Amino acid sequence: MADAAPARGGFRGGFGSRGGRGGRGRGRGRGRGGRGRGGKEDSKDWVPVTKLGRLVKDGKIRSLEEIYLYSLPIKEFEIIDFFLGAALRDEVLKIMPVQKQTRAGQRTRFKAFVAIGDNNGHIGLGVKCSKEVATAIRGAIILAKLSVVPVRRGYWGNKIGKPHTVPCKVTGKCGSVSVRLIPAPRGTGIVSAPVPKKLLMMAGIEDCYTSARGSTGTLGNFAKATYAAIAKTYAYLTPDLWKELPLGSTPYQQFSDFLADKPGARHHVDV
Amino acid sequence: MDMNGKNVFKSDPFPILMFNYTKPSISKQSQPVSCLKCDIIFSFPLGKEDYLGHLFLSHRLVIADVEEVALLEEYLEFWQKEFKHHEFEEYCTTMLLDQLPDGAFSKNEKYYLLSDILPEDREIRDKLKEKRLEKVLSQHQYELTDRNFERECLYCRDVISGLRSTYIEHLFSKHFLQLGKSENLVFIDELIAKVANNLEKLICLYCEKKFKDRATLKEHMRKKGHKRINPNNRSYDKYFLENYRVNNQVHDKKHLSYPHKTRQKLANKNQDKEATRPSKDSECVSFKQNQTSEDSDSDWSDWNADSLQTLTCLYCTEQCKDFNTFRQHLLAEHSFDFDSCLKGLNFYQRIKIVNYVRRQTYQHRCVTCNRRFENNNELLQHLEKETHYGVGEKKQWDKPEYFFPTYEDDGLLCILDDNPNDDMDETVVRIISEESKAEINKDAEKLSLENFNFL
Repeated sequence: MADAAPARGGFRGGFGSRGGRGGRGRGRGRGRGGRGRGGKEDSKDWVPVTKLGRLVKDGKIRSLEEIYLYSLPIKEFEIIDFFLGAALRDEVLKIMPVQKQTRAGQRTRFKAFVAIGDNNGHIGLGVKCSKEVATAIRGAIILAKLSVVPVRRGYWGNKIGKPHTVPCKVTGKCGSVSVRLIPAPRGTGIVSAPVPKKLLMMAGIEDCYTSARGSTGTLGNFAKATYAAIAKTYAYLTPDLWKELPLGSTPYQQFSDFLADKPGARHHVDV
Repeated sequence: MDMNGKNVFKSDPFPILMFNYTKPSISKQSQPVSCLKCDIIFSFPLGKEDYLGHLFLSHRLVIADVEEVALLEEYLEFWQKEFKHHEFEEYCTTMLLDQLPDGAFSKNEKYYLLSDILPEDREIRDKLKEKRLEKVLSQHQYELTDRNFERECLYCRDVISGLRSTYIEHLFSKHFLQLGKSENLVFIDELIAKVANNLEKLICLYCEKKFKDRATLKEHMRKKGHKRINPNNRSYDKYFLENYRVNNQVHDKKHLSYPHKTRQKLANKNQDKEATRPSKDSECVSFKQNQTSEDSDSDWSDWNADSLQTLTCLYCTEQCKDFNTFRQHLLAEHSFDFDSCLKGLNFYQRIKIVNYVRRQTYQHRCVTCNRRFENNNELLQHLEKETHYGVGEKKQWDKPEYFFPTYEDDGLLCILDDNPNDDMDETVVRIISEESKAEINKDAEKLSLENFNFL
């Protein structure tokens, strides 16, 4: 009996451990099943493929403005996510069905128009077409992030408080639509049609008059023209920017050692 | 008596409503639709089966693929108009069968089939499908952005409020209940109610088997992986946007062009171009790849507005579609030349004028003599009589309070800038003149390629 008890105990222990492993296996399986089937990919482990991406990931670049200063093209949307992250708000402007005539009949896909902005100086626009709405929206958000530009804001009259309006009259054109943004006094709000109003709000411009010409019924071109106008705010050379600053070196030059040393240098593309 | 045992009054001159005494469905309200040939009225969507039965029994007409037809009521209305003046034979294919509608044997009875072999029928079916897609997309857009959603979770006791997509994500991330990506779903409230109903009745979501209690149901769904919607269950089709696409292909066949195949094709196409390493998982798509793929993919110009912003007249309530109509209306109705008033003024002054006139009209005051009236009609009469139509004097409207728009979404303020040369206002931030003088640097010119001799 004394022998039987520990044997039974041992047996129970063995069974228990097997059951425990089985339980853990079941749990793992359940977790994998739940996450594997249509789950979102983990966005935390980003492996950069461009030089700029690598610099950003390792924190060598402090802010998005350093990239804009040298007009470096941004080819990875994670770069924008890294700097603007939570502040970025995306908005689906429109989902519309588009049809294409094929041999087998008509084929309908969904086209998503997305605007993205952080309500404080950055704006982007993206459009993507796909068979599923979710894929189209996701793709459009990525393209919108890649097209993020900085927005310059200025004052209307007195330079008190924070900048609230466009610094000068700027105009953007797309297709037949041309949109003109005109500075407005504080408290005016945005005076425009609904589509540019959304864009201007997302860009962080609080007060602005607009003037649109051309067929403003094509909202796509209308939105793009507004985006072009907003982007031009930093392209306009105002007298306060006349001062000559010393020429700096681009991040690629600055961190050339870092870029050269990194193993797996085979992966990245010369940008 | 027809097949359901209800009294059918065929020769009655007055149309009769046929009611189906079952519980009404959640979605649409009932709509009366009259028969294609006779005048009997049926109440849709409940009376749909009765309607189709009546068509078969009384008129020997069958509609092909009737379940696939979108917006059946409008389809039937369309054909009702057509059949008023035409016979069935002109549009339908005739079949000869050897039995009467109620099953009795007979010889060579004519039956009619209305199908999309006929081009008009196909056209109307496609148009209706597109119309339904538009409606569904607008509902989808609303559900995507509406933040007033609030509901208790089906499993835990959390109350989720805000966007519907947060609710769906919560169900997936916390409880592994897969309803689908929230951007692909429509009529989400109904879908959640349906799922909740199933769970309450202790019926499994996937296999629809009934269980004794909640714990066994949960265990079953977890173990069998039934925490998702059965793709073969057609009753869930209406909740997925995918099913509303207008495709003239075989319905039950799954789409054979999988996404990764097309990406492979595109990657092969662009190998010579400068491209990043094609990785399946990352979404890093280069711009060039986008441009060489579908032209319509990145085309912004096909998004057109449903309705244009209209301009309201300054004095009356007339709505004009564009600036020219507006000017003409002012000239015709109020004998007032808008352009001459705005000539020579810069943008900010024009803004102030418009806001001033709008404010005066709102307060029922005359713009010229500032007299107050009881209502708009009296004001209009006064303006007409005294020809006080105008914009008032400069000292009246040139006040800083008129920088702010009187009306929200005033379309007139967005088209005032016809004259691009308004640099005359001193109160504005000084801007540089638009014309730039480019001076060519002589040293730079020496470096021009023309001066190099390449041998």
